[in-house]
Amino acid sequence: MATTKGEKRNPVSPSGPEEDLELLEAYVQDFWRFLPLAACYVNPVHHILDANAAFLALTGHPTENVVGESMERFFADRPKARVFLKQVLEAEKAEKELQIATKERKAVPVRVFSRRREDEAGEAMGYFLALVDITQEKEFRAELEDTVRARTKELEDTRAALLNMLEDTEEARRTAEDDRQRTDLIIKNLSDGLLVFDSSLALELINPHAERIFRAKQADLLLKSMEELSALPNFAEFIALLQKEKDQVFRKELTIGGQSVIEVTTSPFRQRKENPGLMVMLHDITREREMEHTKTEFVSLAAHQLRTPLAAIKWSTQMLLGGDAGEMSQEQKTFLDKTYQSTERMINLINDLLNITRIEEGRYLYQPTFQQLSTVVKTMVESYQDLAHQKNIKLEVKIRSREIPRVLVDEEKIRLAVQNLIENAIHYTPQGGRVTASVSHDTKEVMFEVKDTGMGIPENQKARVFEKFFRASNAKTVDTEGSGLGLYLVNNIIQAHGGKAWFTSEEGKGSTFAFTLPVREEITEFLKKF
Amino acid sequence: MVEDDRFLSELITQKVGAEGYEVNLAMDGEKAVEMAKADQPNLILLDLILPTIDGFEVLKRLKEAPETKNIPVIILSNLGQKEDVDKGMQMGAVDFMIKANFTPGEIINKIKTVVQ
Repeated sequence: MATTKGEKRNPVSPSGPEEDLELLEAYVQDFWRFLPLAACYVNPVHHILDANAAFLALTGHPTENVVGESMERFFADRPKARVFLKQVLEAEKAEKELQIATKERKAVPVRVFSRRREDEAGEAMGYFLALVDITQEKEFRAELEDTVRARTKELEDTRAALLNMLEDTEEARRTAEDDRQRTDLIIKNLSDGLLVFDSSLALELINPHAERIFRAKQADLLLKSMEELSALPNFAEFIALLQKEKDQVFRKELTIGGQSVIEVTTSPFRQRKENPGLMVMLHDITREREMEHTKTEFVSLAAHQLRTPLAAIKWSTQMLLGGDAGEMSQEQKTFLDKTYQSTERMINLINDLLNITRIEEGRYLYQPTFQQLSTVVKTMVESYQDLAHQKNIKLEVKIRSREIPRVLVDEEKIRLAVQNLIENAIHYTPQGGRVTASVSHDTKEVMFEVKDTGMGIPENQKARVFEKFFRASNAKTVDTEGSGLGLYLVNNIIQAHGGKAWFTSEEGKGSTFAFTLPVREEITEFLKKF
Repeated sequence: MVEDDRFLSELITQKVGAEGYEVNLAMDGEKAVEMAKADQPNLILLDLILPTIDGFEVLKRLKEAPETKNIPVIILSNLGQKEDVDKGMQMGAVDFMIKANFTPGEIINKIKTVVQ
């Protein structure tokens, strides 16, 4: 086949079969070189017969290292490649993602496309492989995946955080609920009564024990104001107490419902910055009071019983001393006189004991009436003038102010208190001394004072003066008879009247004992009775 | 005299007897009322804690009965709290004496003043 010189070669319109073939081959060669897609042609036993420039560029190998080489060698993941290459021969075309191993031993991800070539008999005579570098695509995809993964993770984290928050909230709610139930249980099972008034002083809470004390049901009481409650049975006195003692009530005794003796204690109940509400504790002391009463009754009974034999001893010694059973020697008389004095002491002790039990029980006063304290004092001083005279003591009364208001007292007990103080003053003042009783007043209280020039009370014993059975060491040596109950009695009596008893003393120089009694409006007290 | 303690009653009987008075003794409450009606004494010394009926009840019955209501009664007892004293005096006793607080001599003096 020959070509005409000077003729333009046109691959599309070959002028002769040979020329045409050459032209076609050149065309294919050009195309093969130009193709940016890495491609090669491989025989049925997988040896590369031809590879284009792009293939060489991709793998980094020169042509001589490529042509004739096993195709498999150029893959980084050979086992997978082997499987694929087998398929390639069986199918007309195939496609797979594999990795090419470059000369620099880098694995480059590629998408591999194959196309089988057949002879006329349909036998495989080889195949084309085209390799598309998908590094960028991979990277992009990886990046995308990373982003998606990161985003997903972020979302998951957010979700987890939200769930956590929800859980925390739920936990907090449950804890709060548990706390509330615990508090409820504690309040319910409290053996004391508990009431809570809110900031507007309406009843907010009342526990079962308090319901029992008032014999009322919570449902009928809640949200009621103090005024409304006051109208209910068993509440009037209680509410009056709360309203009277605005700030705080501490252990005030109250009889509720006619038989329970209740100790009332309140404290303001402030939540955040509202007005304070009021918390009221009710402690039932009925049993204690009953026991105290029983004890008192026992002591009282015992003391009364002791009086009979003591009276017998007293009377018989007195009669013996008086010669009712014949004359006695001086020595016998001396002994009997001592016996008589001891009996007298015992009788006085029992009288004091009886008074004590009455006072102890009688924190409740016996029918208080309005009395003029100065009159009580004058009468008492008068009755001790003889004794004072015997001891050569100057005993006088000074009424220091005019129009002293009358005081609401249990007359018998106040008389006992005044008597004890005057008697003590005379008793512990030496011959030639002076005892002055005085009464004075201001708007709030009436004061009684008795000043002596007696032995005084040692500094280190002053704290115990009002204690039961206390006797100062110097007093014991002068007078062995005292019971140590007098000042205890005085203090109790005065406290029962809402007053205050105290003293000042200097050992060897004298003492001043005093008490005050509160002044009450006679009209108010009078009206109370109705 | 109404007194359930024999020794105490003997002491008083002796002391009062020595002063020239005649003493009849009742040792329980019922007996006291009965004897007061029968004997019509000039004065009754009355204890409060007694067998059968107590002194207050005795006093009440004495004051209720026309034949005994004018006989003066001195309560001579171991009791002596203000309530007891007030109660006794309100019921018509002329005086209330706590045994242990007085000597027989003082009691005689009281009897003398009341009888006269």
